Amino acid sequence: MNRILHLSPVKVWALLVAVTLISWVLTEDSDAVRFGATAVILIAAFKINMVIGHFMELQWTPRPFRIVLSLWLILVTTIIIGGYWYV
Amino acid sequence: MHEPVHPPFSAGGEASACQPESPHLPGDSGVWTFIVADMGAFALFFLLFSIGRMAAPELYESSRIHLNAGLGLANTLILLTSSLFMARAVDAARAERRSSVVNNLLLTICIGSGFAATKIFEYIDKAQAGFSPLTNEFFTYYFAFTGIHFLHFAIGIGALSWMVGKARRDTLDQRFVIWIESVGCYWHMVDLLWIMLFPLLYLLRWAG
Amino acid sequence: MEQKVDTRFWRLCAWNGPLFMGVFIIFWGIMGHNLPPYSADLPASDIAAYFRENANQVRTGMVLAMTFTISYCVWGLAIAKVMEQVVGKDNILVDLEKWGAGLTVVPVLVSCSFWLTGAFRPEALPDSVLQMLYDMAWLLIDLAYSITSVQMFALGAAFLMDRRQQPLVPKWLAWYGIWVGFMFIAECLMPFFKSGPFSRSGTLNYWIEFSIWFVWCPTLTYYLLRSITRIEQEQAHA
Repeated sequence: MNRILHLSPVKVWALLVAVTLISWVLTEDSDAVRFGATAVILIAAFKINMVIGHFMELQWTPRPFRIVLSLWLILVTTIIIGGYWYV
Repeated sequence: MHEPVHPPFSAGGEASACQPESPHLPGDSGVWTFIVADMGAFALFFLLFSIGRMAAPELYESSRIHLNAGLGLANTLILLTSSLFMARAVDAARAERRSSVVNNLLLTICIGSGFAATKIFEYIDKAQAGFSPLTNEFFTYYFAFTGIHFLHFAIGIGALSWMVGKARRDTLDQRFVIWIESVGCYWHMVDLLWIMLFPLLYLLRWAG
Repeated sequence: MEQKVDTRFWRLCAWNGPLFMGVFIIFWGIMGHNLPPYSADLPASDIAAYFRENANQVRTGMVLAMTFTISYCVWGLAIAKVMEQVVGKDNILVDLEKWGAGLTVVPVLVSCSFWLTGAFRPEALPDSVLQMLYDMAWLLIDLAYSITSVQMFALGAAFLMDRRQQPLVPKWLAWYGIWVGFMFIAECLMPFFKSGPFSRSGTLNYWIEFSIWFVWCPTLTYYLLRSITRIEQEQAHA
């Protein structure tokens, strides 16, 4: 119930657009391909977390729902990054 | 179904500056079964793709470079922006501002339609370049996963259009708020699935 | 609703759902070697060998599967009775559910008859014909999905309209059924692949699609049986 965490939709959107553009630059210019790719996935996970928390408003819901979606996000991120590095 | 409702949010751009008093699940609780099950299906898609990629990284990389990442980026921005207006429509519904609900929903649909335009252009472009779901495993997954996602998108546009009609005639009561929250959460799911599909399909470079 | 209904035989009919499922797992699945199916990648000679070596087993499995296919329709009619207590007799959702459940029987029955035909005189038929029968059976049973989806959408929508304090069928289950009906659409990809997750024996189009349905059927039956008790209690108190 942290009051500071409740951003207005416009601020959330601005933040999401900003990190999207950052991740775009990372993929275009990065020499360290693997770290760039990992960062891009992690940024995507951060964005999803923002969407779940602020647009879906699960920041303020009964715990179990937030936990289910958080576990989903951790699982998906692990699968993708794990699969990427395993190669 | 009748959870306590949010106190109306203050009007204006900073609509969400206040917060609900008690934990509250937005929308209809049953809709969340659909959303969670659907997200589970996409987790499986991501797993299938990752396993396939592990087995044939060269094939995936040589296919990936044919995708137009710029269009993928555009679609990410389109869906994010569409989601913003969706969130604003929900806030407006809680504040019982009918014209604002309708306008924000229409913006959600209009901006969201850009996704369809881009995607259809992209599919035609790929088809003309000779790529199909049968080209190889990467393109199978590319067409299947984005296709299934597109189907979700199309259903979302249908639900949003129907909400516009409801917002025009219905009283903006607690029931309406639950409706619009449900459609909103579904629409945000369409957005968040694309947020992961985009880097997975378009951006994951193979280091060699 | 207001009018008293005779709930005798409802439970018996509702139990036909799990019965259908049990019969299909044992006779169609295990005896018929469809759990899992042979990969579409295999040469015709492998499919022919399956029919020739297991002819009697497949015959028995398919005969019993075909005998009990109708129990799916019986189950669907039990669902319709409970739906009538939610949306009323005249609602078209009830008809859609009945037609969906009833028509589902047809492709299942016909595809079983293809497997049975293959097992009938496999020694006299060329390998390619046996392979074709096996393919036909699988293509039909998978691509008939939309018939069942109609049933799932209709009953899902109806149970979501329940105005009871505690609905007869919980909302999450109604939505889950709608989701399963929607997920079946992935079967559209099945004819294009002979291997991989979208093929007839693949992760998605076999294991996931069948499992999510197999979870839905007994869960819905459980709530149907409870609903019948509740309907009887509602009537007793009315």
